[in-house]
Parts: sequence; structure tokens; C-alpha cells
Amino acid sequence: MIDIGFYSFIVSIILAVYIVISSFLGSKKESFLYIETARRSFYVICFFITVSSFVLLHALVTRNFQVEYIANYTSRTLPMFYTVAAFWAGQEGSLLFWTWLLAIGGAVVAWNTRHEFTKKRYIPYTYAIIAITDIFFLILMIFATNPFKLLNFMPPDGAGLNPLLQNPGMTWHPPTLFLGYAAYTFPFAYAAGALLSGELDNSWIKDIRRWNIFAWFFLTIGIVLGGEWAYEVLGWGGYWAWDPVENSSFIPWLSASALLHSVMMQERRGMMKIWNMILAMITFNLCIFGTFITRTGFISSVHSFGQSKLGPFFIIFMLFVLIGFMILVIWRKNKLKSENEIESFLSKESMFLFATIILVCICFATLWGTAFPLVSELIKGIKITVGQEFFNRVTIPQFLLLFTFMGICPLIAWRKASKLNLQKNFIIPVILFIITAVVLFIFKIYLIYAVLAFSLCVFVLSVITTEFYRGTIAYASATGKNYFSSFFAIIKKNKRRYGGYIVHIGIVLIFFGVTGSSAFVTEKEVPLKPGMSEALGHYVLRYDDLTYENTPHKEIVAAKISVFKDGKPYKILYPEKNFYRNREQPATEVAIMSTITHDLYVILGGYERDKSASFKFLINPLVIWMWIGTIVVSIGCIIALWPDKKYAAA
Amino acid sequence: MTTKTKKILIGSIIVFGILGYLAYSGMQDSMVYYLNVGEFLNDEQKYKNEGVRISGKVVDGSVVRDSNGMRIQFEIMDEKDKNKKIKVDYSGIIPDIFKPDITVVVEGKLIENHVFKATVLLAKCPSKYQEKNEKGTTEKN
Repeated sequence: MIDIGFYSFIVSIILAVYIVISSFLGSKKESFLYIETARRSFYVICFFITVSSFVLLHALVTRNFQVEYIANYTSRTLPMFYTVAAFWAGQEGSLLFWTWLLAIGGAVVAWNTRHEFTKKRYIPYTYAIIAITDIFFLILMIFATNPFKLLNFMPPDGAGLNPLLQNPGMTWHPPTLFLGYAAYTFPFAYAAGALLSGELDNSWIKDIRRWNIFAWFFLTIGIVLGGEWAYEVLGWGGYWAWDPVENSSFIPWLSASALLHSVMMQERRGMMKIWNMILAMITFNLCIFGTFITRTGFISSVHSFGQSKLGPFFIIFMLFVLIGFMILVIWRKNKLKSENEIESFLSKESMFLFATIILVCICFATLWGTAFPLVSELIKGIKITVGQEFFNRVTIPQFLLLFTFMGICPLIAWRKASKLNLQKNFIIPVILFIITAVVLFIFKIYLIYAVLAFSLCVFVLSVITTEFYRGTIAYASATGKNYFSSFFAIIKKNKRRYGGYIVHIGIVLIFFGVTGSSAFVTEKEVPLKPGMSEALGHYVLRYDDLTYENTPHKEIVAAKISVFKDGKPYKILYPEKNFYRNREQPATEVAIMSTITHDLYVILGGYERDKSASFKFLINPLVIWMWIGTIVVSIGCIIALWPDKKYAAA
Repeated sequence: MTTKTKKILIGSIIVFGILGYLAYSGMQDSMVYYLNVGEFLNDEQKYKNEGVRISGKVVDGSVVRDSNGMRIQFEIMDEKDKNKKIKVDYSGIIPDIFKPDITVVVEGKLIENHVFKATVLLAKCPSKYQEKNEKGTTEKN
């Protein structure tokens, strides 16, 4: 039964090799049959990888501990929900999951292109590139890290899942992230396909539009869920620490965001063709890099690379993608010439260009800081790490600049903006920007970055509001409909544009939350005895009691903290430490009270028999706006992705 | 060279200059050596007043917790050479997975009497939320 999972890999890899050969041959001989069989093979691969995935799921659900993966990540007492989620908890399973998503995506591409592959010459090449990626992941699982590896005995129980991972945030974080990663295979495959075929008009750019938004959407959600998990479960008070693993998901997000914007330049003005190509490749490669770092712990040391079986595979594949692609770009460079030039500094084109350049700069700065320990170890023989200070100092000014462009871009004209255009459009947003800054100064906020950040939030929001307002008014006066229905009508008529603006609103809200919670944290670490109180901001926190509770899975030690606001009882919080039965280590459960302006965050640090305990109290301002912003981003993405009626009918 | 390319050139030199400076200064201020216990002890004088990160294994039986649970003293040893040890003093939230025999990373400075005053205590490699090494089979894939 378990063998079926592995044999499905063998069948799939043979089919994938067939796709590569057959699509190349088919393109060369212009043979419909070759290409059509290659296309249909994607459905078969999808079927077989799905079979493999179900075999693993079945083994998980039936708790077949003879499978090494299942013995390592689950146990008899693990709740069923987390047992299923253990699919993507470890290296082998998560690579299978990646491959599964890739196989499904491949089938979707095959379906979408069923009428097109004879018209568009790049499609067969795109098939070949997707199949090569399939082959890479299948090689990993067949030769290096087989999820179906059996132990030569049947252990009575498994090791269980790390309690840190037994949390809803951690359950959804990896699959959303992997979905984003896997989906970036397709923009890359189309780009490489276009290069191979030489059919370099805007057709491929239109084909990747949806993949691009879709992948970016899931990448964003994945990153935020990871941050939320760190905030609620890791329990150190924050959500982002510029840790290599966090960075490895953020780096492709940055280049992906650049790609998302620069494709519009090509669609509208025939510009940035080489740039788009390279961004599609870099984003895909960084997604592979992200998978690699998370799954191998490579960045912690060059030595761990030597010990990891996966390392060489990943390095070779990433180099193959990078070098092969660049050779193709150079080969086709005459066909990738820009059709237009930037006419003026004050134009939409130049704003787009600057924004994408900044995103790429942030991307490489983050990559540099993340990879620095490796670089220094390779060059100087000694490992040197760079701290959060580096990342903050380099990225914050760039983000502020980026937000400035984000505000200017919607209201500035293509080609060349006139002075009148600028005056008319920006007078109100600029005034609001200044007012915000002045008000913040009056309230004695002198942190220059924070003041700029908050004022820019207001600036960007007012620009976007103006856009919605004008669109609505124009539509209402043209059609005679009321403002309310006009507002929805314009969104419906131009989903991508207004969906994009809604995404921007969400990003502004996230930025607002990040600024508040990173610049204005109040924290205190205190030892307390029952009955003692501690003041923090507007609150007084009284430690009342320590309670013990036994459940079949764990023992819960909870501290009762009465929160008083302005002298009145306000809320009771229970920060906990949980001791899982088959674990030696405790799991800290923080208590978080979220309000619209700030979170009160309480960690139980330790305690003694006499119930004296130590706590860490934090007030993290505006955290909730990051979660709200993410929901707004999601709404925007869904609007942008929503199919137009004519597509739906076709 | 046209005035336009000149403008672009000057503009990008300024921008990249600023970015380069920010990156450089950020690195200077946040760079720390990342060593294991052996490497640190081999060149102790060099690192005396520098902030460093040291990774090592928590020595069994060396852990002393303060009564309120916020301060902890322990020894870490080199993973290869058990005789190389450093005393560590740390105050703050102790990671859940901290216990004897696991690998930790401490960041801080060596103070008098060969005690390493740590301001950061990370347990194990935080990137691998993987379970304990069952019969030594999987950990390092």
C-alpha cells in the first residue's frame, strides 16, 4: 500500500521527462500530436501525485508508525486535526505537498491552454519548463528524502508533533506559503517559454497576470500567518525578528511585488521587458531558495550544508535556473527592446520604475543580511551575523520612499504629468500629510521615521480615496446612477485597478500597525507575589493566583491577572504554561488582550512552589491593524482575481 | 552623454550612495561574531570586549535558576570538545525548549571572572521546529 506512493513518483517522473522531450520535439516538428500528449500528461501526473498524497494522508490518519515520517511527526495522542496537518510539518511531507501543488497547477495550465497551444508557440516550451520543475522535486523525493521510507520495525508510538506547531496559525502558515511558492513556478515557466520560443510580445505577460496575483496573495497570507504564529505562540512579544526563516519568505515576496507592478509597464507602454523576464525568474528562484532554507536550515552554517543531502540538489537547480535563464535573455535581447522611453521624471512610468527598483533593493539588502553569515564564513573563515539593526536601518528608509511613490502613482499621468495636473491632484493629500505630521509633533512624537510613516499612511489613503471618489462621481454623472451603485459599478468594471487600490489600502493598514508596534512598545519584566500589582501605561495589573489543572493531554499552570484600567476592574487574563504529557519542555501560552489601539500582552515567565512568579508585560500599539490590513489585502486580491463575466461564460 | 543620462547617473549615485552608507553603518553596528565555544576560548582576548554570539551545548547539572525564574546561570560546552566550557549568566524570558543537553545560542559579552553575560538566549536552531532526534535518524536529513 505504502509502495504505491513511491511508485507513483516513478511514473510521474517518467511522464515529466516525456513532457520535456515531447514538447520540444512537438514545437520543432510542429506536431500537434506530440504537444497534445505532453499536455495531457499533466493530468496524469496530477493524478499520480494526488495518489501519493492520499497514501501519505492515509498513513497519517491510520497512524502507520512504520513509515518513518509518520513516526517522527505524529503520535497516538495527537489530535486528528494536527495529525492531518503533520503532512506539511516536516521536510519530506512538505516537499510532497509542494509537488502536489505544482502538479495541480500543471493540470490547471494544461486545462487553460487546451485551445491555445497551437496558436501560441511558447506554450509547449512552458510545458517543458513546468515538467523540469516537476522532475526536480521528484528527484528530491526519489533519491534524497523519500516521505514513504519505512522503518524495519513497527514502533509502538510516534515521537509526536512539537507543541509549538500545535496551533492553528502554524497549521495554515506552511500550506499558504507553499501555495504561493509553487504558484510562482508558472510565471517563470511562461517567461522561460516565451524566451525559448522567441514569441516575446505581451501575450505571455497576459497569461501570467492571474498566476501572479494568486501567488502573491498566498505568499502574503503565508507570511502574515507566520508572524501571527510567532506573536501568539513563540511568546517573546513580537511577530518579526528578521530571522533567516522569516526573511526567506519575505525576500521572494519583495521581488514578487516588483514583478506585479512592472508587468503593467509592459502591458501599457511596452517597456521593461528584460526586467520583467528577470523578475519572474528571480522570484521563482527565491521561492526555491525559501523552501530550501526553511527545509534544510542551511543558513545556520556552511557545515550544515555539507551534512544536508538536499543542499547540492537545490544549489544545482537554482544555478541551472539562473544561468540557463540569463543565457536565454542574452540570446533574445534584441527582441526584448523597450518600445518606449521614459519621457519625464514626473510620470507614472518613472514612479513604477522607482517603486520596482526600491522593492528589488530591499529584496537584495534582506538577502544580503540573511546570507551574510555564509558569505563571511566562506571568505574570512569566521561566521559573522548581522542583527535586526542592520535590517531596520536599511529597509525602513526604503519603505518610506516606497510609500511615497505608492501615494503619488495613482494620481500622476502616464508619459508626462503637467504642473496643473500635479497641483490639482496633490494639494489635498499633501495638506493632509502636513497636518498629520504637525499634529504628531504637537503630541510630542519626535521619532522622525514614525512621524513620516504615519503621515505617509494618511497621504496614501487620501490619494486612494480621491481615486475612488473621482471614479464614482464620473460614473454617476455619465450614467445618472446614484453614488452608491456607481461606487460598486466602477470596481466591477475595472477589478484589477480598484482591487489593486484596495490591496494598497490593506498594505497601508499593515504598515500603520507595524510602525505603531515597532516604534512605541512599552515593556516590563517583573517578579510578583500573589496580591502584588504592577502599573503599565493606563493599566494596573494585579497578580491574584496561580492555578493548576490536569487534562488527559497536558497539565496547565495558569496565572490569574486582574487588569485595572483607570482604577476600575477591566479584564482578567490567564497567561499559562502547558506541560504536554509526553514532552519534557513546557509550552508557554501568552495572554493577549487586543483593542483597536493596542494589545496588552502578558507572558508567564516562571514560577515557584510558593506561587511567586515572574512576568513580562508588553503594550504593543496598533498590532490589530496588521491583521485587519491583511483581511483588506485579501479582499482586494479576490476582487482583482474575480473573473470577468465573458471569461466565466467561455 | 546626454543631460538626461547624466541626471539619471547622478541621481542613482546619490541614491545608491545613501543606501550603501545605511547598509554599511547598519552592518558595522549590528555585526557580531558567531562562534562555537571552542573558537571563542581559543581567542578569548580578541573577543573580550566585543559582543559575540556563541553556540554550545548546555552542560547537564550546571543549570541554576533564580527563585523568580527570570535569571538563570549555566555552562555551555563545545560540541566536540567537552572540556571547553563557558559560564553563562542570563536574565529574561527563558525559551520553553531550554533544558540540559540542548544546543543554545547566547549573545552578549564576557565580563569579569570568566562569566559570559548574555542578553539573548536562543534555544537550538530556531529555524528547525523539528522534533527530537529519534534514534539519530532524521535530524540532519
